[in-house]
Amino acid sequence: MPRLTMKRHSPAIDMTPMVDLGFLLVTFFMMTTQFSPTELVTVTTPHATSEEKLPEANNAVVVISKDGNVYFRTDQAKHVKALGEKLNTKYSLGLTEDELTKFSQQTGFGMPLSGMKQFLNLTAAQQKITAMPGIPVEDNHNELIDWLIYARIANPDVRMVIKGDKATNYPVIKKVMDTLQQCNINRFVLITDTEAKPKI
Amino acid sequence: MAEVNTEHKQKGDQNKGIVKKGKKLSTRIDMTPMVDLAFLLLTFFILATTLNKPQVMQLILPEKNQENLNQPKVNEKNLLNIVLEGNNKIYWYIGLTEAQAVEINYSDTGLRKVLQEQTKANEKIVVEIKPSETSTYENLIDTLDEMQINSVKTYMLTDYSDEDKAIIQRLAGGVQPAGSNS
Repeated sequence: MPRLTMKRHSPAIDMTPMVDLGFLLVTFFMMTTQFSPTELVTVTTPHATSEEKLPEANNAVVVISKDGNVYFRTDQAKHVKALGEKLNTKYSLGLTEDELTKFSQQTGFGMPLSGMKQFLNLTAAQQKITAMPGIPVEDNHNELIDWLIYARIANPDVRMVIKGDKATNYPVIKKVMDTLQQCNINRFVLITDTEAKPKI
Repeated sequence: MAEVNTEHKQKGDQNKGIVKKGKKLSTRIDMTPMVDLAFLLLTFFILATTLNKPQVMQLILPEKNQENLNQPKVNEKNLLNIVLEGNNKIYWYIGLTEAQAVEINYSDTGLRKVLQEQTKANEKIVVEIKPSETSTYENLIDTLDEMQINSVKTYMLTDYSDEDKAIIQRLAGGVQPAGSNS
């Protein structure tokens, strides 16, 4: 009887298809990635059954922390500089061109404009540890209104978003909503967390 | 061009022996490092991607400074007041004159039941949400969410007034209503 001889296969496999797929996915993710914005404060949003998703671009977010501090962030970096220029003129902050560039690189703002110049001249590491007291929204000194108005001038398509912590007291929320209304913004969205829809 | 070519040829002729002796290299390259890198990048981008976009709730408020315009008047019998108090308490009552406040909570048998009963009983009902100073943002979102769940057609967000305070204090004063709905 002849001995059955198995054909010897080389242990190396052709990896080409796998590599093709790998690179395809890399390309896809590189193109679609939108980095999650770093938040200045930790905010636990309340739950709601709404299923609407927040569109990706053109959002100006008013973040309200648990302690009632108000922060402002916008996702359109190219509009931030225009916003800075407008605020610079209105409040005569005396920001230089260099400082305005630094301003446009910020991901969020949470300090009175009077402290802006000083803050921008800090190094990135120092900025990180600097406590942000929040944007003033008091009746007699409301800077948020200018942030909102100029953000809207810089980008007319902007969508106003409120991201509040669930433990925030209502008066602060009301103040922010009133401020939005003062700028004639009557349509805005509230960020919520997922919750299963109940059966009725 | 021609000169360069001939020069090359001459050079080639001189080194003929060495070139021919050159080991024939395999056309296959080891792709492993490249693959490693590709998958490293892949992992990074997958993790960095914002996987879940945040959910949102639309809120449209009426325009301010409209006092001089003709605002629709509502019969107070069609007015369902929902006062959000601190400590996750809710008081509800119909109308304003001689209103009987009832305390409920945010559970299925609380606010949702009231809304369902009231919208069923009266189609023209207008819900007025009055968050007090002690209520939280969560209370407001929960209430707005209940409006959507129960598909309440008309609801508004108004200020908590002294009148409301008086109605609720009357309840706290000891006059507990017998039923939840009468």
